[in-house]
Amino acid sequence: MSWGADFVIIIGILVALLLGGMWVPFAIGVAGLVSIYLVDGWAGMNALGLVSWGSVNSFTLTAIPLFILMAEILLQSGVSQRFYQGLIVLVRGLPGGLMQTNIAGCALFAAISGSSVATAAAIGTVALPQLEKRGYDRRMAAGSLAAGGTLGILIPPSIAMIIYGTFTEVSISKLFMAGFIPGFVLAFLFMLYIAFRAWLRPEVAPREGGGRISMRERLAAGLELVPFIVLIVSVLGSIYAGIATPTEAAAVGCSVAVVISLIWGKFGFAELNAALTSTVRVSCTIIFIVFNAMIFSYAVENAGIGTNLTNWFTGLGLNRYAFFFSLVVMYCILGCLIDSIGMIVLTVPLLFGSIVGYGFDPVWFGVILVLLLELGMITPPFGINLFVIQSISKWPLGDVVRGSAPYWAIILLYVAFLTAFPDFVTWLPAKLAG
Amino acid sequence: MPYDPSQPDAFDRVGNALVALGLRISQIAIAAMVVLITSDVIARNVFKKSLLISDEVSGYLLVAMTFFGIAYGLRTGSLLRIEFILFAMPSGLRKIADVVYDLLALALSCILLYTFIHLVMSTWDRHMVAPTLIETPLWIPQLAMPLGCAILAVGFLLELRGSIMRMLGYAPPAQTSSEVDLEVML
Repeated sequence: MSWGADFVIIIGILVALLLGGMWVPFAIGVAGLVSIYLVDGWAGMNALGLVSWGSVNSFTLTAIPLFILMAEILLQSGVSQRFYQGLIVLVRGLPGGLMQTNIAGCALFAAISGSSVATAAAIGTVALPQLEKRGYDRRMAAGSLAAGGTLGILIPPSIAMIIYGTFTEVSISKLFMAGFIPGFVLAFLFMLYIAFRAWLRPEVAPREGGGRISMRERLAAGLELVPFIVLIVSVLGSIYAGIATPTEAAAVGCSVAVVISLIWGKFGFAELNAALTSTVRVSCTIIFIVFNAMIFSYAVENAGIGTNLTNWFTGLGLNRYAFFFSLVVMYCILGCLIDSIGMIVLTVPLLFGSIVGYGFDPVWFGVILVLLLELGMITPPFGINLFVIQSISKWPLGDVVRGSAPYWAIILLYVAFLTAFPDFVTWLPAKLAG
Repeated sequence: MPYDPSQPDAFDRVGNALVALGLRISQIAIAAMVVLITSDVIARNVFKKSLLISDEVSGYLLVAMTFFGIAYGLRTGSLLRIEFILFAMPSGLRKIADVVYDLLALALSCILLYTFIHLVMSTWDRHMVAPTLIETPLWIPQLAMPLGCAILAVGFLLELRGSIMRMLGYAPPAQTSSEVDLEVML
């Protein structure tokens, strides 16, 4: 069977199962197994054991449950709630009030969490009751949280970057460095947009009362942020200084988070058990997708699809920007259909060769890919952050979707900016790598 | 006797106990990763001595966490799926789709289980050890894969029984896997 026919069959099976509602990892696994069977028959299954062992026995992937656990410990112990209360005092004076706190909170939480869902859920849970009580515009409030949450995978640490690095062998430390400046600049752009809307239509954000905030209050509020700053500095600082690998930084981060929670929060056996249970649930789901995608990736290589597809794409002789534009369109469409991890693991093994072949920097593309995944997270009908905020707020999904739409445009314009000025992404990793 | 999902029978109890045991092992594996890697970083930076095993053993612990914990993810409805078409299906078609997906996923789990048993046996037969300082016999960490996969297959059998009973009208249609509460068992 030609590689083209095999490609059409496995993509057909994959799309049918995914859209039909089968669990994502099993849909990917079944498609992979069918491809192996078509090429090598039952004998091909003998390779599955070693492929599986090699894909999950990975020190790099170990960072995923550890980063999830670190954020869970802070959530369960109530430290993240104190952090948000502190941030309210410091940021609420800006035009847009608590919506500015949402973005600033998401950006800082993103610096200790590798997941956008966790970021949206963590800040959403503490912010939404306050926003409701004070009469903020629902669409604007929900949009700020759904979009702010997406910063979780752009600002390091980032599970999406760990998975991208695992499939492409691009340095995860470099990817983390590359996401740092673009992540905080995007958060600033979100805040700028909120300020502009609040200035244009002051009724979307009630003026925060409470009079002038004294220096003493500011200082007390600042102290609430100290545990977070300590954690961010110890995790990201040790990676950037080259003292620890991302996995080591994540483990040390968990230990520091436990100490912080014991001092500033409520942390006992019950909270530890809850944090570990939640971590098992989330990280097993993610790693099982990666594991099945490794089988899929092996099947794709085994059938010669990856290499032939790369040759076919590069043989088209497209203008590199035309190629890139088609990638962006493809990711926008995929974002409507499938979750972010599924998007990485299904597209990267197929397309990475072509991306490098067209002369794009793999680290730069990692950041662009994460931005495109962020788009998917706020794109209906499968934008997961839309559902996170909807389920916490119980507001109509339509309000959350409409509120998030402007951020969609901001992210897309930002992708265009980073394509025109790639140094903005690659400068920091190049500088720190010496 | 009609199937009553509110009254767990022996199969439910054994199956759910296995899934809960898997969760416990997964929790311990994550906690062990944190302790091991943190100890290594401290030993390296403070005492200038590395434990030399943390990279290797963490990988094994990740394998154990993933395979022992995935059945819990399944039974608590945490596995991602695209539901908008599934929800738009007529009720009868949806019940059939659920049975088909459970069967396909059970088949995949069984094929994986078979290949993992094959892998462990071949590693055992060839006395394969890790190319590391402690020369771990590889069948030991690899054993987590067939054991975890067996629990996953049991999880799918429980799901499949529920789906078939719903398709035949013996169980209320609203029952979803996410309603299974394993926390109470711990």
